[in-house]
Amino acid sequence: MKIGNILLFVALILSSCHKDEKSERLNKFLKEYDNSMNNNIQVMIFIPLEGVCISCLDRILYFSKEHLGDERVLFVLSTRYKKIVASYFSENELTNKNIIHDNRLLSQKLQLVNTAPSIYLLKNKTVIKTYDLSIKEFTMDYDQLFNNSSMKGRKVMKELRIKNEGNEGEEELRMKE
Amino acid sequence: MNILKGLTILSLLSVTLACKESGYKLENTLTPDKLLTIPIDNSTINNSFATQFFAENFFAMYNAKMNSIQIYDINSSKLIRNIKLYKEGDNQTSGYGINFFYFKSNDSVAVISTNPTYIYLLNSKDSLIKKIDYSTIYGQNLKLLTLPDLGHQPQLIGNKLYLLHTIGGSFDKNFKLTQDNINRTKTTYSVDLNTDSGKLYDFTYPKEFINDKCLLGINVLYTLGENNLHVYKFTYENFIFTTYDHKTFKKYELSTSNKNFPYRDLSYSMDMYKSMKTIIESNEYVHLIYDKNKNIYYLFVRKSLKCDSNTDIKTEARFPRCSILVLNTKFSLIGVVDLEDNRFNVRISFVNKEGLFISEGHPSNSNFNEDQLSFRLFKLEKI
Repeated sequence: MKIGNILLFVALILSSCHKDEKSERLNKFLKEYDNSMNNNIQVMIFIPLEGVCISCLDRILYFSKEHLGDERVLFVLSTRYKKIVASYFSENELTNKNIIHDNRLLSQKLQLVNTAPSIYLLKNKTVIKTYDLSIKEFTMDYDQLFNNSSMKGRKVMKELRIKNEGNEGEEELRMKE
Repeated sequence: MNILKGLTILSLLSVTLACKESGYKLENTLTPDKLLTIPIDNSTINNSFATQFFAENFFAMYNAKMNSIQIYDINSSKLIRNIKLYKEGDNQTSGYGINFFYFKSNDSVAVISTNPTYIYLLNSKDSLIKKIDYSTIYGQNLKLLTLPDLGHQPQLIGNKLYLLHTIGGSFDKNFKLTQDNINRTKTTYSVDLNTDSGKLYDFTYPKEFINDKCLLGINVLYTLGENNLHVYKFTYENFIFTTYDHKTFKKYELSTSNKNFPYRDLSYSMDMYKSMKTIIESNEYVHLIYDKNKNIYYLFVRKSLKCDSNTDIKTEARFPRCSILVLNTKFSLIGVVDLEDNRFNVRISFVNKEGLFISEGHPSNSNFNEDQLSFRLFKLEKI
């Protein structure tokens, strides 16, 4: 029993360390881009625009278009290529304050994102949950993105989920592009 | 005097024998020469997994974003043709998934789609001549085509298009090679573009790979040598296999002193970062090109890199740091060249009568320019 308690305690310590470590990496990233995290940010979405699973990308880009200008969300576009960013977002869209163009691929170096988009849910500047939007993970409950408060968010995600059906199979290959 | 003469002859003899024993003389090098630049438009990035140099003068590149194939004239450095592909409709000329291509000539191109599994043959007006469903041609274990980057380019002999299939995509996770399942690793098949018939060949992974280790992560490089010799080089170990008919094979072992090709366990390949880290921390053969003008081969080797917290793992995985081994027709090493780190994109390289051209489109290259393709010419020279 005692050993069980100790193990539980250690596990709790480790899990809390893990969360802090993620938050630290997020803050390090933001600091590098001279962008401090404000309390309003509830969601950070990292979108790798090169070497990425294209199907995963389509869905999250659709979502991002719906939420440009939403100060609760911070989008990070990770690619060295200006042309790739320009092919997805207009100049006007890129003037939104909630978009960072991570042209140094810092988010990837810090392992905040890999070959599929990733979502970080935040509370008081601390990471409370993360999602890796690879194809198999795309059954997440998107209502959580905005603390169940956004009907619009829910609707978009529901549409995305429907749109997503039947696209499996070619993901591994698409990532090589 | 006689003793001195004898000693001299003896020492010369021992040097000669030592050279013979090592099996090669590094008498050649590749010298960097001119830079070829080609302007590209706003819709095109200077990287692609599918490229081909053909008819001595044309460089073709697949634009995934636009779903098109662009052909550039190397002499004029100009775009001369843009083949728009269509993913649906009556004029469908490509698939929904990965598409790559093979130009038989400027008038005839085969677009190879992985989803659906069709080969679309187009004429000089970009119109569909016919499509071949190759899913019925190859066996149930061969699910996916190998992408054409880094040593997997399709090859054409007569009307037969030779393609490699993806081993990783066909195998179960943790696939281990055994005497019983070795026939599942047949790597090559051909599609006859005239008769639509296909054939799977009896070239498998070598028996030397039979052990208790996972085979994932070991690919095969492929090219055609002199007189349409099929040349296969696995990314791991130093073996090279050649055949004209896929019935009789010759096996060579590279006479390189570099034996440092550690086995890479990618059985945990679902962890992308761990896999990429493992890949870049080990040497591997990544690309094989035949130079018909000089009758030699260029074998690209990824140089291992010890990762630390500052390593950009994804970029390193996509843009390998490489050395080039120059091999003669007996696959003896005749030269070695170390490419400058963070400058080249070896995925995009081709050979013409001038020599070997390698893309300088590495995003960390200080001269990186998004608006152009740039290739450095390397000329073979005697040391």
